[in-house]
Amino acid sequence: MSTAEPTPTPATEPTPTTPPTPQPEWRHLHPLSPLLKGGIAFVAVLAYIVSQQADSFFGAQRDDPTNGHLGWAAVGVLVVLLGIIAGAWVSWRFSRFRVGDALIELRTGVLFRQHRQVRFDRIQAVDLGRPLLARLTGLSEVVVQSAGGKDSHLKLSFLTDAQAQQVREQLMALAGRSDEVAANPAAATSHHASAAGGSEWGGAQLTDEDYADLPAPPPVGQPILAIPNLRILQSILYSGPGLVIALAIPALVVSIALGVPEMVAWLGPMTVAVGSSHLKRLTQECNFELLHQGDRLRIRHGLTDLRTTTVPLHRIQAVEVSQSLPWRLTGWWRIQVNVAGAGAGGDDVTQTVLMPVGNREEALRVLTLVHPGIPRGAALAALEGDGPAEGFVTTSTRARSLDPLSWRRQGYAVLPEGLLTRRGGWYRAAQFVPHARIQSLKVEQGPVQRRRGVATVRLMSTVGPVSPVVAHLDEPEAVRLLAEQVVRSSQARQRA
Amino acid sequence: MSDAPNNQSPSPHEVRLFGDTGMPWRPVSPKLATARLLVLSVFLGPLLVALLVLAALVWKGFWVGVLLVALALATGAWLIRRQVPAITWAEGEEELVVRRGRMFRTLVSVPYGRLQFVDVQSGPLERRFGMATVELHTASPQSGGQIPGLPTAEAEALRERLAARGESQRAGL
Repeated sequence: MSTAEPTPTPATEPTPTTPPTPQPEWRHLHPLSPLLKGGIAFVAVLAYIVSQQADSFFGAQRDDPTNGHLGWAAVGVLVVLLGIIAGAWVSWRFSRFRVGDALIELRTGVLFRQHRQVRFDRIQAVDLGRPLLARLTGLSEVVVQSAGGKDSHLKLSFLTDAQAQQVREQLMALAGRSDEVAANPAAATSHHASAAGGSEWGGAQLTDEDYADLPAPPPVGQPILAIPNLRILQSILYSGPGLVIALAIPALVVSIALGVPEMVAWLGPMTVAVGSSHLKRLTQECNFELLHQGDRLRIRHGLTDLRTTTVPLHRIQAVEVSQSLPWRLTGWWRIQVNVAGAGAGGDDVTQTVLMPVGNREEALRVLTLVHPGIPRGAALAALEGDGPAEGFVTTSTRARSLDPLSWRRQGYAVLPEGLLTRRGGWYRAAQFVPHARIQSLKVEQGPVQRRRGVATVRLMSTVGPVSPVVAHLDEPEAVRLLAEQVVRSSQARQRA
Repeated sequence: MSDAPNNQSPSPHEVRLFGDTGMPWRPVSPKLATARLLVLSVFLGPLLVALLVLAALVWKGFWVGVLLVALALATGAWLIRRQVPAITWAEGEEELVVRRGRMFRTLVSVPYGRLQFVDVQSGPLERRFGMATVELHTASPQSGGQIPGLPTAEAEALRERLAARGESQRAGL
């Protein structure tokens, strides 16, 4: 594909002295977007009117809330509606975005103007989301995540599906490249080729005309995982709370049927409370697919709110493979990652799940995809092994009483590329953090630990579900890990 | 591999969880204890006086309150006296290390290359005592270290050194 391109666009070869390239045009979002954003309110007003009309249709004049001033009420509602539409139109007029040479910019607001820009080399991941309402109208939103924390996302909501796909492709191509150029000039050429190969639009500055009505690009990438929905359902049921629900619902049905109000009174709320969180997880993890494309992973999931998250592989800060006790029976594992910027907000927890449920082979496949440097033996030892095999340093017998179940397992192993930690006798978990990605190290020692001469070492990663820790190492071992890791991390950073 | 040659090298600046050996550990200003005691007494002092007055004039039951507050004051003062000297920090070749705590000890090692930014804060009380708090921020919000109660000049110098070192060893996320 890259050979077919006649000339690279100016943006593909950033030179130190930036030539005065014409700035790309500001583009508008889709005109329907304000209505979709305020969707619920709009639908509510509409539904209210319709229900009122329906009442009068069926000739029910029982309770007219307007006391006969139906005409005035209709005018009032119309004014409100017009006001909403006018407001929506103005807000649409004033929100514009553009994808420039080095950054993406978004301007919003009429009275309180906001101008947000994200540099390409700071993009951590790009999300494509389709909430239910947007899905019905064929629109998508693009969420650009940077590492600035909870409120640092740049959200383009909404664009048409095709536009959204293209903006995503464009951003990912540009983001990957500018990062690599900055980090490693030698590898830039080869990387550029792969980036251009992955996307026909790499670096091109598209205007509205280019979009016209291009079909959405086919889902590119090599499928790594596709989890059947049945297994997702099972995986959620095979958990402590899932089991509770499975027992509680028949019990609830029976107690309703027999008319035992006391039973319903306490069983009902409990089921709803436990069930809703699991239902949310179910709807988020349904239709799960993991695709690998060049240097990035693409995660697709969601029942009503279909989301596609694209994460560059080199932006993954840490990875964890875990297995709860009920999953031991089925041999299932779950893989979560830390990506800077993702998962900082409460609602986007599933962006950090690379594999909601999968067997050991699938887990190993994903693990080696994320970090090819983990040998199979070490990975297996981390998942299921114990003792000092494969270079693991574990808790000594002195701390046996502190961890009667897991003292044999919990420990760490040094691999050329990163640190592998494992823990848990019942709830098994193994984490891998590349040396260069360890933010800082923390050693903790409480009074009991001091008496035993052990200490806990925490490897600090960015915000996310993965927090690697090696508990109860012998004090000299903890100090040795600390001292050596500082050197390893520093060397790894300089190599990167 | 990177780690092989360093396995056995006896570093002159060995990190120790406790004690004064190894790295050049530096204490924080002893005035920090005074400042913290002052804060403690500002909070508990008026309460103690009020309870004393109430106990003497209104009802004898308030003596229990007096006793409790006095106990809290004494415990707090003892803790501060013990904890402040336990805060030590050292600059290594690659990292800045901060230790704190006596009962529950923690040691944070922040590599210079991982520093995103450094805060030097100084509230009115700290300014009065000529101290500042240096806070180290990495990309992980939980991981940064904090050195309270540094003499202002030392805090500024540390910030300068950290900025220079961060610049030379900088790495992306």
